[in-house]
Amino acid sequence: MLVESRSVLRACLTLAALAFQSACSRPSEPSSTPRASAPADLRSPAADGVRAIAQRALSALSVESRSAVAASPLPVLLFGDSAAASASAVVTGPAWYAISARVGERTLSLHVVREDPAPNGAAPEGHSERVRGAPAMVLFNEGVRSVTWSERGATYALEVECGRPFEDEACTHQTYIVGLAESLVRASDAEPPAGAPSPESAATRGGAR
Amino acid sequence: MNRLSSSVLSTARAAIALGFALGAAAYAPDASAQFSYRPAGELTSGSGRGRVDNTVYAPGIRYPIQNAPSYLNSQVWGVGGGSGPAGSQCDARNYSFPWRDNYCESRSWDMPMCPSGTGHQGQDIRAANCMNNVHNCVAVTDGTITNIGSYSVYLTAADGTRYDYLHMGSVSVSMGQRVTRGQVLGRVSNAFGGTPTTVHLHFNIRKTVSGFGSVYAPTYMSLVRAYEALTGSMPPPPPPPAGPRFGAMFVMQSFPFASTTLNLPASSEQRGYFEFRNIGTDTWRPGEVFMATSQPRDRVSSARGSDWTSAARPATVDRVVAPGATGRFTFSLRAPSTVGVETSEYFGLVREGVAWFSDTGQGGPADNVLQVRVRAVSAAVMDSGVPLPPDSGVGVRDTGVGVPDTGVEEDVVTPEFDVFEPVDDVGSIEDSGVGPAEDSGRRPGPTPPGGGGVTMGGCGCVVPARSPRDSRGGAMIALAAVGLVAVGRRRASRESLRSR
Repeated sequence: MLVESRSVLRACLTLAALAFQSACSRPSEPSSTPRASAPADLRSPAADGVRAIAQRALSALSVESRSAVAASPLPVLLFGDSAAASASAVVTGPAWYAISARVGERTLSLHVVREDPAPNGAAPEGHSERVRGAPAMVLFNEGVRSVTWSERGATYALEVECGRPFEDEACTHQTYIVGLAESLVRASDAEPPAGAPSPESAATRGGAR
Repeated sequence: MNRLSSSVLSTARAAIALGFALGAAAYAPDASAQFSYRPAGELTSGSGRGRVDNTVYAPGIRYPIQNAPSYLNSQVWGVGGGSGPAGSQCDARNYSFPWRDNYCESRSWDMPMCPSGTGHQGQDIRAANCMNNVHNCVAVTDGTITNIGSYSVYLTAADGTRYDYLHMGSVSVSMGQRVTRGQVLGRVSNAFGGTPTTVHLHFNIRKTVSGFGSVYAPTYMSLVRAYEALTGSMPPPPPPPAGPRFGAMFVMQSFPFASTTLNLPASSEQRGYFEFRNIGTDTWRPGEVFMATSQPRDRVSSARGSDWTSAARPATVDRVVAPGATGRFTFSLRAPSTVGVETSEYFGLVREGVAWFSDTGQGGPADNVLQVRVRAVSAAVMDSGVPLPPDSGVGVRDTGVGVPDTGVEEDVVTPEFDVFEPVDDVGSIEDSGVGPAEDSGRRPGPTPPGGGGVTMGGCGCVVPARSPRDSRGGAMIALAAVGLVAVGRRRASRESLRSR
């Protein structure tokens, strides 16, 4: 009995040690996994009718989020994907707005500030990709995949954080985040829901340049 | 049997938890230990090339962990990390000063602000010990919670700067919530999706940086300033102005004085330093006070070493230097590319964007006082035993003046450079008869070449010329002194170990 207890205890300690070792030696890069393609409803919304998608995205927001859209000092982009749109929470500050949406194990985040354009008009350093017709930079940091670009006087940073950052292809490859960026729709393209402030007037007020 | 197993498992779990807690307690650092930090961009050896950037990208933020002590260093290259020494993440070496930057630490992740174009994009921070989900993370500023992920919390300030807290446990805020500076957001943990990491906070500053767009900006110096404010390790406020705001008195230099040429193989570099005492009323800070080329000011130097901050700025001061304290400026000088060619460099001190130390009303030194001459010689000459130590050849002293103790014996007893200091009777800059400021009315003539009699050295100090033989004698004494220091310290170290 004593021997059995000791062996169980030893196994426990070994498991604990292995778990501890594993925690301390995580790989710095994800293993190779198949490239993700953008989900069907993350593709460019042009074919589906921009206005319809923008209206759907705006209507899916809570009252508070719609108010935040109206109060935004910068042109507002919304998630065109229906699941992301309905999970979106929008908040604004005096010089920025942000959207966060939890979709399954993924957390999507859009952070928008006023653009600080380069004096000579050149693309910022490292912006070797193109998103929404603009130079863009894709970054990967602590499992979080992000893409940043500027349009209409605002700089956008779109990110996806995965529940399993080293396994989920939305984080291990950039296809997903780039596709998500392409699928964003302008709130100003939507007809305002009845009783809601006009996003058109909001998006062009103050910050839009 | 099942019940027994369950009981044994519970006991084992409790034992492990207790052991972990005891281990953490055993590794608990001395909270009163002196805070110190390595310069921005100086990463753990072998972990990549850092970004030397003393910019405080987020001035005035609160430190993101509620209580001191706390430690900035690498997780991956720390003890127990994937690329670090074997051992536990709880090892005391991970919970000690000095801090180290780990922005741009080797990763394959793109980052245009890193010298290599790739790298780690935030700062890893350990709390007081390795206990998981115990130490509070707090808001660095007033703001709004703009995202909560599976292991992250984003806080956005009014100006749009975003502060990211990663590997968070026990999150206590919600999306859209307004928070105030110092408010608890969650706890330092090992959360990282499905696979735990070491217990630490990964802290990002995401903001627009001119020329780069929206990026994860370097965080190190912002955190240094925040920690100084948290712990009160900021130097005391300067006394009421009783003299110039900016003034420096020469203390020592490792480069030869101007009376002696620094002979180096063509195109090669030698690293050295100048040390000055702060005789002004303003505190010097890294990233603010620099050595700079002078005669004329801001001249692009022909002797610029590869480690210069810019073409006209050899180095910034290595630490916060309160009035009365001493700071060091370390940099390399490069020999001309053609053998036989000599270049002469003058230096001054400047508080960037505010004043030169040689301006009217400041405390000097003047622009034409600090000088070093570098000559390119053939390798054969170097092999024959030249260059000799400068013929100002005075004693070598322990270089540990004000340098944070790394705990590594060799770092202390092995001088990085040959070190020379002026003879005892050399006074301050004022004593030397050289005006403290360029426009103070005294205009010393050009530095004469080395030779007999009394020589005006590159430091503005009066240095009696000595024969080469004397220099060799001085060097021999110096080497013997270093040896004695080394032997003494090793012996002390051994005795210390024995007494534990």
